[in-house]
Amino acid sequence: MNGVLNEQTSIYLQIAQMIENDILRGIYLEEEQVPSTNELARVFRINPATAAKGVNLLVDEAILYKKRGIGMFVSTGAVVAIRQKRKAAFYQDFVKTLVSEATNLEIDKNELLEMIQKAQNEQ
Amino acid sequence: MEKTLKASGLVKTYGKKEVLHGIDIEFRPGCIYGLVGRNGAGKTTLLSCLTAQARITEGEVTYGGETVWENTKALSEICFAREMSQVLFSGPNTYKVKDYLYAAKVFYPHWDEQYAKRLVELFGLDVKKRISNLSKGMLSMVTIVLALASKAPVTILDEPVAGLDVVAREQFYKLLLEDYAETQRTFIVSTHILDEAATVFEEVVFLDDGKILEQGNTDELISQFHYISGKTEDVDKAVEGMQVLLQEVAGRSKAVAVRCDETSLQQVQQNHTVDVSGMNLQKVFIALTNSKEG
Amino acid sequence: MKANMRFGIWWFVRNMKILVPLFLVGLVVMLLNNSEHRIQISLDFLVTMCSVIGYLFPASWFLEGKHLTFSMGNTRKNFFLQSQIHKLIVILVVVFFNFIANSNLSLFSTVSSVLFLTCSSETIGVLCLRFGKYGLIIFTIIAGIVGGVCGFLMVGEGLLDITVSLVNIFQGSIQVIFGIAAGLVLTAINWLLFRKIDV
Repeated sequence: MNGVLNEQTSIYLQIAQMIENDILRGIYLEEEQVPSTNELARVFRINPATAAKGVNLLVDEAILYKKRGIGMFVSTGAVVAIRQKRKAAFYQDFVKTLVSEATNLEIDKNELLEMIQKAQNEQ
Repeated sequence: MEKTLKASGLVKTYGKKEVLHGIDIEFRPGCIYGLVGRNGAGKTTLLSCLTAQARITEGEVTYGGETVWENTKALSEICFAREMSQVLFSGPNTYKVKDYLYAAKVFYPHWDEQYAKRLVELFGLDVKKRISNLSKGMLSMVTIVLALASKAPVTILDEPVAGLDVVAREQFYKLLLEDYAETQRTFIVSTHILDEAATVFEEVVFLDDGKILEQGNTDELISQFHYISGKTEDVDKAVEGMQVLLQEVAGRSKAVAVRCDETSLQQVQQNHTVDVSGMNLQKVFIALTNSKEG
Repeated sequence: MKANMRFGIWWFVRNMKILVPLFLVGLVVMLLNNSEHRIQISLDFLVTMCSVIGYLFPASWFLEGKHLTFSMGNTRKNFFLQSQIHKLIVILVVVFFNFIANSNLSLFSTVSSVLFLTCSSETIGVLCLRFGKYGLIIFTIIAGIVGGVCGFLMVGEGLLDITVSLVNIFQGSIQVIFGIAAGLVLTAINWLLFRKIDV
């Protein structure tokens, strides 16, 4: 499972992102429990402190909350919160890269918009 | 009660040769440390000094504020699992694995017999075999069993994976993390095989030529380093003012390894004519040791 | 220290287990001898052999025990104290065997000789630990000089009788005192050499 992690961003950020992805996909529903820090550490073969850092990041952003003696749970409204957060980053993380690459390949605006339309139709 | 193993101004000289040049280091309790260094950097010497195996020339080593030298109480809480000699002064080491397990049982106050038995079975070790007859892999495994089952509050492993194949190495990291999750004890693992071990270390210490090159949180350290690549002129412009550690040129393209803070990195990332990517711990270590020599 | 004692006794017994069979074989060979003094010869053999074996223990402790104990948190002080216990055991064992062999050597003589020889054995162990191969060379040179002098003096007094003198080289009262004093001095020197050693 360690192979799932990459070298591009800090591991704790990747852990946080993975949990967010799972929440968005409905693998963990709101008010459901997410894997413990130790479980995450075991599965990804990382130091528990790193796993904890990722989880705590989500706690700080109110996406997860802690139930003392039990574990970490998905907050109500987490899905909306994650979507909003990612929407704000969408422009920077995806759109700019898309446009830059399109420019490299000399794909003009109309061609690009056609491609986006096509992709949306296929969804 | 958690105690800190600490060295201040540690200097170690063998005859006329100074091997450790003033080491200041502190191992806070409950953390997994990676001690990284090339062969001959002084890792084993440092660990020997920390555990009162070797007498220090200058400076001091303390555990919980008390000096470790000849200190039974302090030393009973520290386990130094080092490579075992297959040859003794008098000939081959005819002691058996079970003899070492017995010695560990006698000397380590927290020795976990059940755990030791489980590990021996897991590794498929024959406890009746003599040390001189063990393969390199089995020798490493015995060291690992002794270290893990000691349950010592500070457990030090000197190159535990030397001699282990890749599957056995993975097994070791898993066991280490499993034990750590349960006991939260301090581990110091020295290694020069970094790639796969990096995710296990919360803190890392780079030792080079008897000096500490870097120390700190693994994640935070790695996040300071990046590769920047692209057309040579673009790269040079992008990295102006940054600490460049390595550079490789191929035709009109260039790739550099830099150390920089978050803001400088963001500025570079806004500029889309160059590619930015992260570095793993191994590459960071290589870049740092290379740049030191160059 | 308790851990050391537990381990030290185990180590001592373990080494004896290896040597006892050899020992018994030798004894049987002696008993098969058809001379009329065979019981006495066998008893003398017993004493000599266990003394010789006993003399090796201190050196062996340093050269073998080191590997098994120091990285597990043993201290030099405890290790060295354990060596003194080993020496004591050897002395008691030889005295005991001397007694059952009905030897007419004095208690002091026995103690003095065994003490001197076990302390020398300890010296070998310490020197080899500290100086490696050169330790053996150093010891051989010193032993050669000292042994040569002693031998010369003993020949002069006509005291060279094979089986017994291997066990009890100090028989005159001055020699007894010399043996004990030398043993104590050697022990002190050994400690001084050992206390700061790198293991």
